Amino acid sequence: MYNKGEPNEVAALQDVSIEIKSGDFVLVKGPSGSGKSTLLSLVGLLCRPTKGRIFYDGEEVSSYSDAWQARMRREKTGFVFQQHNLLPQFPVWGNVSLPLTCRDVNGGEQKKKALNILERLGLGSRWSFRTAQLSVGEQQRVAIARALVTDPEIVLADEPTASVDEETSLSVLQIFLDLKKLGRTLIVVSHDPLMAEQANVAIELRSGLIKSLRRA
Amino acid sequence: MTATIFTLGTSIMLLLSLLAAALGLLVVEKAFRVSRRWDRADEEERYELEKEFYVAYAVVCIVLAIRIFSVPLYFWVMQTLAPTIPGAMCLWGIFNALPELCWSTLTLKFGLPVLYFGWLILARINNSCKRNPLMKNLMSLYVLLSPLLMIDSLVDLTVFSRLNPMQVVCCTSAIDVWQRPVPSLIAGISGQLVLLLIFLALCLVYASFSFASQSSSAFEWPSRIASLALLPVSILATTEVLTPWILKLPLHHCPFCLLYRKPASILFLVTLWFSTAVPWWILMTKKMGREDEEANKAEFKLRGALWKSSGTALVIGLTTILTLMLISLA
Repeated sequence: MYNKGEPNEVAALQDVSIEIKSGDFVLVKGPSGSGKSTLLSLVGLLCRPTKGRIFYDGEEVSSYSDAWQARMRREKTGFVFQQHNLLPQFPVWGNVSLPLTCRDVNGGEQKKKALNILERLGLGSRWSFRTAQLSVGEQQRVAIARALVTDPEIVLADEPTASVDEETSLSVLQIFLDLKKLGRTLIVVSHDPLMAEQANVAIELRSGLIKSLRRA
Repeated sequence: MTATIFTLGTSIMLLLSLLAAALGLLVVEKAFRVSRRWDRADEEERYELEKEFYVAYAVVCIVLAIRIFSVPLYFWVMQTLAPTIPGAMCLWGIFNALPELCWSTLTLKFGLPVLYFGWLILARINNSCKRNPLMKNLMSLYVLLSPLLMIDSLVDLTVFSRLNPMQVVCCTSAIDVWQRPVPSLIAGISGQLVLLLIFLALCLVYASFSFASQSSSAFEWPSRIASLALLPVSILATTEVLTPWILKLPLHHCPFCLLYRKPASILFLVTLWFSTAVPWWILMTKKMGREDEEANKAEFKLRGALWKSSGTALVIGLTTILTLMLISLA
């Protein structure tokens, strides 16, 4: 619930009960304003539910302190934002290594890990570029690299292929499929039919409610 | 009227004190609101209070870090003023340039950091828990601490804005001429030797109690009593035996000269302070750090580590000072 108790109060999600198993590839779709990004933010502990609870490994994590939730985000999740949210003043590798700075990883190791993941995502030659020098598709892959550099258990992605061409879209999907093979849990907001084909759980939201939930 | 002594050190002290006082004052209202509202707040308000707590918590940590850092800095800056104060050779003489304030507040310099560290230890327990169980206690304790914190900052502000280069008497004329508190002979044995033996015995008893408290809480109050007894005995042993023996100056009892001329003795002072502070930190954590099961576990784990550190620190301090004694006697 946003702006609770105020005239512009909005119930972004209602009566949503979902169980996601480790290793699931979950696709979330629905029209604009249906609550997809809110769902992702709740699962990623970026915000708290005004009502209801979130469990992780059987523990009710929604009542944890902000500080502890931040620790969980840092250690367990990787987030790919729709708008990439890259820092233009940092080089590519600096953006990618950013999550490692909160993890007591020394400078040399940070750079090494960043370069490794960039290489895997086909951006090895772009490591020293500023993000503004990259195409939109490359920026998206940098954002994915940043989400994956900590080797998270859960990867959350908000429209990762919305602003990229078909070729980049395929390469992003391939990255996700590789992650699935490694047993990572993926929760992706997308309207891409290719993503929908590969996901084993599909959730469709409409006006904050679950319209359909399919588990393959 | 003479001008105030103004050096880089004194200006840093003035700045730090001003900063700590300003930040400390700024956050009192927030801390008071969190501590007052917490029990009555519904879930939504608690979330807002939690956000306020994080801001207050960060500021309090900075303020306490400044105050703790200011303690050694205070003594160091004071010592550097010796050349600017006629007659002063060590801290004794410098303190005499503003005796009513410097001497009366000396205990604050050792006592208040015990409370500051106590707050930080409680914060450490809180941080290791998932639901901030000690939020209210931390804020309440800060509200209680804040007047002392203000006094602490104001003392430094006053001292460093009022110290001027006046003629003073230093330790050689102030200490050596007085009658000593320990008789020269006790039952035919040197009074100094008796005092040293009492000091060593008490240290060993206290270290044993500290180690024993790790496994049994029955030793905790005996440890606290021993730590209280150790304070005056340590001061007496330092001024009456350790200082004259280590400095090889039988009539010189100034502990500041010992710390200045034999810097290794600072380790003895620090470890002794730490060791005797531990039982009181544990009392604080037992009273204020066990709000739920998780905090209880964290407190229990930390308590064991603290008792162990207390005993170990005392052994290290004692070894240091005895080594200095043996070197000087050799």
